Amino acid sequence: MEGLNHLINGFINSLTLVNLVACFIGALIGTIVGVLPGLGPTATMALMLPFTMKYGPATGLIMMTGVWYGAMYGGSTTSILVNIPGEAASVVTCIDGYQMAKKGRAGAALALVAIGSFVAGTLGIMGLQFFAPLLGNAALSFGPPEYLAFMILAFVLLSNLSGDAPLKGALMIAFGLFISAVGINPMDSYPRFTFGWDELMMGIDFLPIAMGFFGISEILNIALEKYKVPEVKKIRLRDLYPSKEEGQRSIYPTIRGSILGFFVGLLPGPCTVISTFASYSLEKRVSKHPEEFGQGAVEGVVAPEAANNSAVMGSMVPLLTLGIPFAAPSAVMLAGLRMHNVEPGPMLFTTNPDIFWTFIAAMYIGNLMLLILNLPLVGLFGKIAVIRPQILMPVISLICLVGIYSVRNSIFDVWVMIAAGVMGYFLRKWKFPIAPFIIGVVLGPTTENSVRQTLMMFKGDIFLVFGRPIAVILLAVAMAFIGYKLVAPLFGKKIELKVEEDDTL
Amino acid sequence: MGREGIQTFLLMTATFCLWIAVMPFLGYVIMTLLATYAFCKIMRLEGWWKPLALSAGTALFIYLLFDYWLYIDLPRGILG
Repeated sequence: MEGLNHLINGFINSLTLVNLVACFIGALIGTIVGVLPGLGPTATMALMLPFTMKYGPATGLIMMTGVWYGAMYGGSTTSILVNIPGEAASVVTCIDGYQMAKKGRAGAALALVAIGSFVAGTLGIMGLQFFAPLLGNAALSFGPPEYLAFMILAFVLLSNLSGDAPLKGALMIAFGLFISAVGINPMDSYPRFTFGWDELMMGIDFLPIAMGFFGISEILNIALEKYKVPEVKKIRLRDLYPSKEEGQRSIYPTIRGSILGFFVGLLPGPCTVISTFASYSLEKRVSKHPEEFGQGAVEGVVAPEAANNSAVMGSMVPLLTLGIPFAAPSAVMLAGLRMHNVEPGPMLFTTNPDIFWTFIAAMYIGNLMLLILNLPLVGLFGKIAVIRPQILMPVISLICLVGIYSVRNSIFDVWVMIAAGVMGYFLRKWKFPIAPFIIGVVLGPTTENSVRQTLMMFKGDIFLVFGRPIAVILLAVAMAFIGYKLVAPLFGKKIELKVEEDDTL
Repeated sequence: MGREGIQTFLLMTATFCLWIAVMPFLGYVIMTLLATYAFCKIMRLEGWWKPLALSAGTALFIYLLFDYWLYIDLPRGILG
């Protein structure tokens, strides 16, 4: 019952004008960003951080999550109407979505996706509401060794699940950790890797790096691509009604997709992308008419879109309960919360319960808002999708430049952003995953702290770790995973969960 | 990338760098106008009035957003 009281309080707190407006703006911008190919949710959230500073941490969190799942909604629109995925998590939707559009069922597909996403989002929030405090309580007993073990496990999984080669992922995490080590050593206040530069004494800030890697490098990428004029299917409002058969066929896929997506969201890696692929193949397997997939099966559209929405919620669980982001957008969110001096983790539920519950309540409201926003405005969003990049990219470039300068009034940060952007462009070209790098940067200080504290606790005796069962189990899982990856090729088995990380995530 | 691609890439990067290097002296409004125009031209937006209108709009938007709404003290340069 205590949870219910908290939730009611949360609703009361979130129903302030500021929070509602923040939720609406976040959802609207998120949808637009999801519709536009190029700028993904991560870059947008990084750009919006300075704006959230004007208000409290809960408002900031609400706005950023709004962007993230707004983008999940919006991505489906272009996939179905134009056959261009607005962001990586909607690639799968193109397969059957565009086929439905060709048959003139685009309106129905969009409506079902919007309803499905709403259901999935709501189920996801329920999951978050239920699991997060539970996990938070369990994590209260975590000491530095457990945290370290958990982080090692997360890094192992992350490098395996993102990109085309585990080694590349691992390298990117290591590089991220290295970047976070630049600056003053927290233990003895001795400058590290500064090369005598004053600007580097404070360390390299996370935001310019995130903006560079996800914003500038994407701008460069699009500027260099040849632009093809997309063809948009027209949608009338009365086309939005799905037929009875289509409606019935999408009930179970929606629920299956929601549940699957939530649990995939708990995994490290590009969870929203993985969840769509996983749920598409699940639907194909359980379907009575697998031959319809690829020809415009409604299940193949609804289930992945439901999955990516609840995956967003799932990935909030490790972020809020352990303070460990598993995906690039949640890494940005962690940075945002830190700017407000809120450190998510098991203590969040005892020190700042109102933030958590306001957030939960706002998510319920935001989800409803998205449903109302998306259905009537589908035609408008379809038009936005065909704005030419020659008009869009210059504007976005300038907003990035001024935006990153405004965070700390620092020209150095702008240089860092451009350097990161150029580097990010080439890293993508050579198929290095970007998300592990960002997560490495943001987790660097936490990792370093837990390493140091663990070393001090154990006083050089590694066998003391066996006195801590949770840490041992986590490390054993990590080792087993590495072992499995090494042995599996010998037996000719394939690990299915691997997905090419798309750049726009 | 091809010859044209390399050219676009270098021009884009150069524009970014120029904006950062000159912005503290000329101010963000003028540099935003110039840079938006440059980006449009690099990405081959044809004509002259479209890029011009776009850069004016961008500069106004950025002024309203950062200066007017968020009260952020951006370098104004020679516009004082």
